[in-house]
Amino acid sequence: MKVFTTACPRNCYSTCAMKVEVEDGRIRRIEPHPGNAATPGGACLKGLSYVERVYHPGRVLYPLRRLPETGGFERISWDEALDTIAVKLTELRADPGPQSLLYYSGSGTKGILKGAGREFWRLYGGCTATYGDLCWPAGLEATRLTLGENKHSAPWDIADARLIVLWGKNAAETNIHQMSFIDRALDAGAKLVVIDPRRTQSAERADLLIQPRPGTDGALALAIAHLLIAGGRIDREFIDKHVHGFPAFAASVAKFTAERAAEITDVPVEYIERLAEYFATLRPATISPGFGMQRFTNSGQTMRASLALLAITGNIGRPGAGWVYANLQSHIFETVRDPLAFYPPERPDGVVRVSISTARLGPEMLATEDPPLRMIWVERGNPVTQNPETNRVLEAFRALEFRVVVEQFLTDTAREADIVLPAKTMFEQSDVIGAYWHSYIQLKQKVIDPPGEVKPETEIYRLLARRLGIPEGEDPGVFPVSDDEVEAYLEKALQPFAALSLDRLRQAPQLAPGQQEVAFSDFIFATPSGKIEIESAEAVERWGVDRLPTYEEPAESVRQPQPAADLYPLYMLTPNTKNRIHSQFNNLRMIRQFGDEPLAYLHPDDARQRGIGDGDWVRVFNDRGELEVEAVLDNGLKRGCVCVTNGWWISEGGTVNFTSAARETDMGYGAAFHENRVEVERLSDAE
Amino acid sequence: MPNSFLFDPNRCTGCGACRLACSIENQLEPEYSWRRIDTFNRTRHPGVPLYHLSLACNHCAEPECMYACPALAYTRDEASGAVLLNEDECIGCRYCAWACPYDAPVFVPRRGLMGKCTFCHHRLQEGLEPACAALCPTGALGFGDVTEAELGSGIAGFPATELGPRIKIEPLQESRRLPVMTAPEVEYPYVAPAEPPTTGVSLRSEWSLMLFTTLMATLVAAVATTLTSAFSLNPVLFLDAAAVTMALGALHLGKVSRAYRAVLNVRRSWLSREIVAVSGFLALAATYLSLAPEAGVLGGAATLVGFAGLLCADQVYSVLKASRPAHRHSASVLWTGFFLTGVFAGRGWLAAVFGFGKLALYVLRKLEFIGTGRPVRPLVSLARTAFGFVIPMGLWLAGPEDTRLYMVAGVLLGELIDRGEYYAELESESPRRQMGIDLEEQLRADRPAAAQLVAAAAD
Repeated sequence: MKVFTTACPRNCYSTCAMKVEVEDGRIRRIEPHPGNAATPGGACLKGLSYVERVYHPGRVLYPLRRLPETGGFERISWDEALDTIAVKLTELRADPGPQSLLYYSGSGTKGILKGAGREFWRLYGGCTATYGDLCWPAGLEATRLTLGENKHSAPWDIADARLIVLWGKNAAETNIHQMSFIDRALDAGAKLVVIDPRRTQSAERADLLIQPRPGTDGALALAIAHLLIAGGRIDREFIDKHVHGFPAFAASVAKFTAERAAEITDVPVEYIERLAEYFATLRPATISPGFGMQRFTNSGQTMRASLALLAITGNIGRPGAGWVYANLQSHIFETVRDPLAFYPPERPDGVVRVSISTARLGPEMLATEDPPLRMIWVERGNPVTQNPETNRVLEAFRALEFRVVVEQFLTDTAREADIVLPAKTMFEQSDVIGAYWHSYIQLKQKVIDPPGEVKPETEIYRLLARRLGIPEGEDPGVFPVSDDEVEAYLEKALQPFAALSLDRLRQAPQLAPGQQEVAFSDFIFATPSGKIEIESAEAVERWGVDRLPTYEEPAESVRQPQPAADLYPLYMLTPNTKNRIHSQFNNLRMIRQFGDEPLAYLHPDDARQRGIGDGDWVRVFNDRGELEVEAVLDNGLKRGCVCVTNGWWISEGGTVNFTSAARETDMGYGAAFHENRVEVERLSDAE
Repeated sequence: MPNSFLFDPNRCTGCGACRLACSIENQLEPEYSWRRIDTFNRTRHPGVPLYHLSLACNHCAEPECMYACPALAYTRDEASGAVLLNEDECIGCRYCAWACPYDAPVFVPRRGLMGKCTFCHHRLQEGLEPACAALCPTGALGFGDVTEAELGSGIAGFPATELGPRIKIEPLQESRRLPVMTAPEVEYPYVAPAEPPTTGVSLRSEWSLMLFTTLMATLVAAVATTLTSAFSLNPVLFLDAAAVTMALGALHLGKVSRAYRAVLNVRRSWLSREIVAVSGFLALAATYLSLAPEAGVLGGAATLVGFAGLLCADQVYSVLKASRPAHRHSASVLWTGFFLTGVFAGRGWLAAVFGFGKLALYVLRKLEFIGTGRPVRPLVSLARTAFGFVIPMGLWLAGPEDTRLYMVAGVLLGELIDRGEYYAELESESPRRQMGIDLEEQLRADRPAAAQLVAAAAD
């Protein structure tokens, strides 16, 4: 039995190191790897389920062609698949031009080899591409404007906090390894506050669970700032030295009373005051905001407001204090780091047309002209399930002439493809990955040969380049294929960093060179003023928001005049669960035992009002779409909310994005699809 | 005590990694595991904490599963303390699952056998922790040395027993047992019905035993009747009935080919004793009826062994500690045996003593159900009393001689209904059951309004 050091490359905070045991060329089991101090307890259930995932009978192992008559698929040879694609690409390149192809890549896996796709399409002659991101740009941009860059202290630093605020984050399900460090802090007497409309698993550990009306967190933060400033319970010395724009901020929140915030947020004054009291008396304090609250039209301003709380209380740059949002200290291979990488280029190069907002994928694909889109190539993503307004995404997909999807399984997106090409798993090609919670650089090691006829993307591109007469396709420095080529490619990428080498990474994860254990402990902020900018001129110039953090009612809230409050009175919450990374893992038997169909969680009083009982079949709907699911009554949910976890495939019972809106956030080109008002009705037995 | 599970509900998030770790390590079906996670207060009542219990086998000092197993398929590994199930010796009778209050042994339908946590015995030998503990991402589940005094737990949902489970469960910490919630208003809180235990006993799963036990009581009574009256029993008919009885008993086994193993644990298992006694009765009675119908001694011996078998049959259910003891239940097969003897033999006093005794037990039980809010099933009760008591008594006292057969048929139908109710009411101890009971209690204490709903939900 051989044991390999590797790491999980999913789009997840934890990015766990693991030891993989291989017996007779087959993955036998996965054990914890103590070399990553952020994840010493081992992988979560998803990480363990790779043992099933790699060998799952539903895995795509050969190129497939869709049969238009039945919607089913038939196995074809690589030659046939690549010849068909090459003919189509040649035709489109001539007319209407290469930009009629949309290259869509998602966040399905991490690694520096991901860049091969963009390289290929450039060599092909160009393509259309997306800008922005579904997940987290609003907070990244707010953090960049305020602190200058996106980094935070090592994961274990939170154990030294005396106050921890999980703001819209359910770490117990989405970042389980953070809970160990939070537990350590709680053992030492820290207080935990969870802010979430749901009573989540994380909230079970909390002293206080604040359940605001969705999208109003900014108002909560501003009122706390008001209480702290009015009561003189701020860190004057820190502010004088490190904060830009305090007087203007103090003036602007002078009237933002707890009463006003209570009216907006639906949180009683008493609890707003209690949280302010915690910030006044408990230091160091760490705020760990989640990604769910990044998906509102006011998210950037909300994040700036909560960042201001840390700035005025001196909770930046000190052990146990800080803003645990995105730690990009391991992103050492990127020339442009997020969120700047999400911007469309200021000067288009005429080759790659970066013109489609990820947040508005469906409508913008349909609206694209000159040339219009004729073909799509999708890899590492499942946009039919995961992008807003599924019906428009489907419409846009079906309006195309030709669709290629590189996938491991027949996802909703793959089912729309004309040709599905089999994709490798993390165990079948080596790569080097960073993370966004801890600062480790890790080797995602090849431990088995790809099964069936699976080929990694680099090889697919090389073979396609040959057919299209692109000689650069043979360059192993761009498209490494053999194990030796891949290792040479990775070794070259590591070469600028003296402390890093493949040999060292084969032993254990390595901390990124130059990473700060306590972020901003040097009090250097890469902002225009060199200080923490509560007030930001760039915020005005770039995004047209106020210089200061302010509260704006979200575009789709029950307090907006349109649509009428009684038409779609419920806020649809679509959080992630422990059982999936977005739409991945749910097809596995190991995972499905924890739930095999989407469920709509409802407050019992809302349910009673609609004649809905536990286990009833209901329709969740608005103008954009609907899904039919089973209702579950949840006494812990805030009234006025309905919750369906995201990631279910249409073929598994329906994606939540049937009802979500294609809309951008106030900054960073994120997707504001958590502003999603719906109604729920009981389906009669006849239906 | 070395080699004990350590579980901290303050750290468990219910993630399920331990359950998968077990499946993978032991190469079980992907959705099948020897470890299970149950959740207390899964509908999130304000004022009551939500937490999880991750439990596998606790490798008890007094392993009821091992004592109950009729096939001697269980052994204890003295070095590690592991209670091990030898799958080659298991007959799939599920009796160990009835006996275990922690739902540790689980029936695997595909194999017709029980499966159970081995303590990852093979890993212990290599100096490794069990896979579930080694792969718990939060450190909630551990493995190690525990002092005798620390074993067990007072946490709600964990059945309190005298079995000496090798597990230490940390108490819930006051400071993190429950958040103050800013939106706790629920006018009409939802109280979920208790989840059925995974290894539970029910009429649906035990219908063959209902027929088996009732038929046994009938046969014993019939043989007894031959001793006291002119009644003679057709040996061919008896042999047929005996074959049906044996078949019904075997139907309950997952591995019929190993049925012979069921008699190996006469020393400790009531199930082995029942099978020995029942087999003895059938053999003796068959011999008596077909070869020597005049030999009263042989008939007497058969009857005696038969009643012993009925006594054992009642005692089989004594492992279900959450259920009413059989002798206090109107459907006790021993009482049924005596009652039927009285009816068959036309001995009024015998039939009256046991008939009225059974009726009294029946009525008292139903009254108790009304008092505690358990389902009473009035129509079933009516059928049971009408067919089983009222109509036969009427026929006995006033009916013509040729209605005797109807009287007997009525009595038998009544007994069968009662026996069916007996199986429907059986309950085995289990963490899920305990969670339901304990949650109800906490809701009563914390929220009088919710308690009313509990009562309403039970109706």
